[in-house]
Amino acid sequence: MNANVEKALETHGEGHHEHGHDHHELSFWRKYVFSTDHKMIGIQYGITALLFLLFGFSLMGLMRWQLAYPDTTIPFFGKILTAVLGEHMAPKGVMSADLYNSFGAMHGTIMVFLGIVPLGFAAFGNFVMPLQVGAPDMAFPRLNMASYWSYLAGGIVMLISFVVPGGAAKSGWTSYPPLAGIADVGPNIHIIFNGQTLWIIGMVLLISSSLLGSVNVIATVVQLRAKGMTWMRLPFFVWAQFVTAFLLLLAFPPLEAAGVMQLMDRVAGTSFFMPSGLVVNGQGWHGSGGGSPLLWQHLFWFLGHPEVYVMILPGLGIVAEVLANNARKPLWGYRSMVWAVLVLGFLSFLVWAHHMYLTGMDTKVSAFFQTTTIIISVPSVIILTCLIISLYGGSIRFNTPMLFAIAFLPMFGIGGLTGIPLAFNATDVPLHDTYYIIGHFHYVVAPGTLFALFAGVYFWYPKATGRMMSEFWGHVHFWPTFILMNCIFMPMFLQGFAGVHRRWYSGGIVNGDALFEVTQHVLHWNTFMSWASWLLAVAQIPFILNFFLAWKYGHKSGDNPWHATTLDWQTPTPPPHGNFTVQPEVYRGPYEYSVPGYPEDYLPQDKKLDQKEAK
Amino acid sequence: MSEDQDLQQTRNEVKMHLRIGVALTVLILISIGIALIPFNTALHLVIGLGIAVVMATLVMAFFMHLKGEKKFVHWTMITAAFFFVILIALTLLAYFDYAGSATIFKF
Amino acid sequence: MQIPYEVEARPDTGLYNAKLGIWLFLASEVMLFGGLFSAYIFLRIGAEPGLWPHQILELGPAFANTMVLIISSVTMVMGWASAKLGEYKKFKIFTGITVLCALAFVGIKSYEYHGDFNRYGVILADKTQVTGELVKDKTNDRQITLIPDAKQSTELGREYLKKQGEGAEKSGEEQELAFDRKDVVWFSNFVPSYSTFFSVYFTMTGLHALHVIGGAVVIFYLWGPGSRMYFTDRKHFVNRLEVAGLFWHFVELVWIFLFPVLYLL
Repeated sequence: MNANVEKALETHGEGHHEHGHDHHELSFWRKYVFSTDHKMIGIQYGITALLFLLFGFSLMGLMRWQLAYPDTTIPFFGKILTAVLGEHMAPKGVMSADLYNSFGAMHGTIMVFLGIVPLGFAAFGNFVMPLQVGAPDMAFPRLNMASYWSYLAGGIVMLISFVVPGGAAKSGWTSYPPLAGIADVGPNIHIIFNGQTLWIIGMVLLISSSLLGSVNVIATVVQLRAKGMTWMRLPFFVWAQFVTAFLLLLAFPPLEAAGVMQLMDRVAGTSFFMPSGLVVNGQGWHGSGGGSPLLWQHLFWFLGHPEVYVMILPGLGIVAEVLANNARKPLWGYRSMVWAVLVLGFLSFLVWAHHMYLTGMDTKVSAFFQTTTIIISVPSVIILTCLIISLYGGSIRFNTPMLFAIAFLPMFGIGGLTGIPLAFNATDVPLHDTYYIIGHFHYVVAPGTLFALFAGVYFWYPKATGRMMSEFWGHVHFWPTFILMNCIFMPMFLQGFAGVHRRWYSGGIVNGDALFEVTQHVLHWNTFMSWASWLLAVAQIPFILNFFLAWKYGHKSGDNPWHATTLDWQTPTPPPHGNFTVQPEVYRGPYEYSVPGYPEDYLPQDKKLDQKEAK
Repeated sequence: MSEDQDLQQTRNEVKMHLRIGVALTVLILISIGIALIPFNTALHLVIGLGIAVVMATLVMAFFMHLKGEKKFVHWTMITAAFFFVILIALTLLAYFDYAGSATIFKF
Repeated sequence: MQIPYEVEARPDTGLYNAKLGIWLFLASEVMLFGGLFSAYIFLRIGAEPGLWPHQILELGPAFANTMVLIISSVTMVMGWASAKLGEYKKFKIFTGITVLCALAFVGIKSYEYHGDFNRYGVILADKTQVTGELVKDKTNDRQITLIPDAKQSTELGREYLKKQGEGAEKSGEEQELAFDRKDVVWFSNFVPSYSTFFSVYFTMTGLHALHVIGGAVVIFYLWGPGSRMYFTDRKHFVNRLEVAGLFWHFVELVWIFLFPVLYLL
């Protein structure tokens, strides 16, 4: 039995009475609400993020009605929208253009900043990473708690923005000025409590939360690695989180600065982003002018591009862990993967203007960004290739986490490959702002990252709760989800090629006819995609039920149900406060599976071999 | 180093901190003096920022103990400085490379 | 449950946790103020030629603030050194002076902002900008009267003043300039919305001042209620002072760039 588990039973088992060490019982509030324990904070982040993902998904579900059956009353939910949001936003249960735009902007904002990143980086990073490096907790536990509450506060502000007069922000998740500077302004609308301004305030809270979290992650990885845990013995998941933290640390602040400036534009009448000569509603705009809308774009995308790597890297880390474990063999090309992820992080700061090819930039600048963008595909391909090759010759177990992890590979491949035409200025010009883009990034994030995150949930659930999630219902969740994701996002490429714009609020149809004749032949896909999205929602029900019911009724898992080698699986389940009762010492790399000559098909990192076994 | 050596080093640093403070004051006075003399704007920018960089280096090296600090810290700040330069340089490149439009600077 | 390397440095990195943490945070702050400096650069190069002011702000309060920060930087590091060497009284004095300097900075800045709010500017149709003190009883719906600043901050402003000076009679009084509202395209006091220069000036100095206040709160805590740790765990306390000092020096660093950029160049 693992030394840590032995020790834990010894000191904390039944019949143990004396209290030589400080063993205070925390109150309910200190244990579950205001916790400084990384595992509890990780679970808090995880559940909150999953709820926000569900909410963001629901917004899209409603939008897809408008796209499939434009200007008709939404069944069942239409009445609710009218009651809650008012006749202007949802006249007679029909989604208005303003409502569509606000749902669109908030769907993006919520999914990216309140869903995927908190789940991938903060939830999994917090719960798993300290365990994997052999630390008792994060380097700064109280800062950790502060970062969760800042995140929750930001999320609540975003939710409140739906019900203030004027409705939620509707200038896109990218909040481009001048629209974002003048939107949500009017006679009944408050100067601060309006959708667009609350969006900025929410973002500032979220960015602050990210910064605190990233400082914590980097400090923990650098300072709190256990004895013998050298850099090249770290699980790839830890490397991925480490690079992600650096991206968040250095890329978010310019957006925070830009957010402060846009707030000043809206509240103090400044003209950071408001150009001269602006005419609004037929009248000259009252500010001083002299500002630059392009400045916002540069500052936004300086974060925006590293942000997409923030979304994918934790997912890649999770897939690496699940693949190695369920193929029962080491990761192929671990060193290459480590160097690739470091180079990827560095390059991600140099590509941002490929989101801005249509702003009138000339050839020298666009040549630079096209070059760096193509170069950055190299480390991504290296990592994906190493993951795929890792399966070759493996003894593969097709459990639920493994299904999601394997499916991730081709899905992320499609997402990445469809990005290639977008890297080049010439081919981006017709595709920019069309459904092609939506298809591209959703493939990377939805059947991409989200699949990796699902794999992570199914994989680490037993470590957090001591119970296994149901394998049967896991499969029932996986197969429809996999098929339906493709049904939703594949047709988007067809629509994009035809020129269907990404933000048309009525599916490209006006008075029964196509807005633009060239798109007529692809608009029928709207109905197909919408039905796929509603079925996808139904397919998530087994997951939600499994997640909550397995906590009580799932099979007991024991400490290492997956027979894994990394330190996170060498603790008692769930790990006690302080994680390791005996300071772990690491003797080998993270993926010693199927070691020749060793009786078991896995050799944990911290297992001390006596002379005979070591041969 | 040992406890005693460490304490002795701190004692020696006290005078040095005062001298740095004086140096910073002198530099700021020079900066103001030069600014009040009218000449070529571009040269003003170079000299003014140059003096600021010298002052910043003194603060970072001596007050913030970067001189003698471990490598990881150096590399963190160098990385931050590098990305700051990238932010400015590439955006400037984008601005100065506009496709023909004469009015682009008339925001 | 003790977190390792909270007080003692980890051998291979040579750092204790909080020191690494604060340097990482400062790296992010470099990018934050970097974003604002980039805004300054692009607004300046994109401004209407002749409208971006040169040395429009009073140098006096800003110079005083610079000296205040330099002094506080020296006293902060002396306070840390005194605590490290076990000289409690000196630690109290030096750190106390640091807090007072921080308060002085905020006070002088408030005085400076107040001064700005009482200066006015007028922009005419031909882009001429004239700044000065408002003559309230000669300003109404039809005209605006200013006592112009002797040193105008734009080329066109200087020329305008010279032209006015040629014709006017030089009495012992201050010259007053009257502008017909019909000719005036823009009129305001020096607030953030006055121009992109003032937007960036107030935002940058405002954010910097918030950092000064934040730092002052932390240093005050360490000087006062938190100084109990000097007696219970001196090494840990000295580390906290060092970390606070690093933040404080960064705040000074930002000002070292803000001052020439906004006030001199």
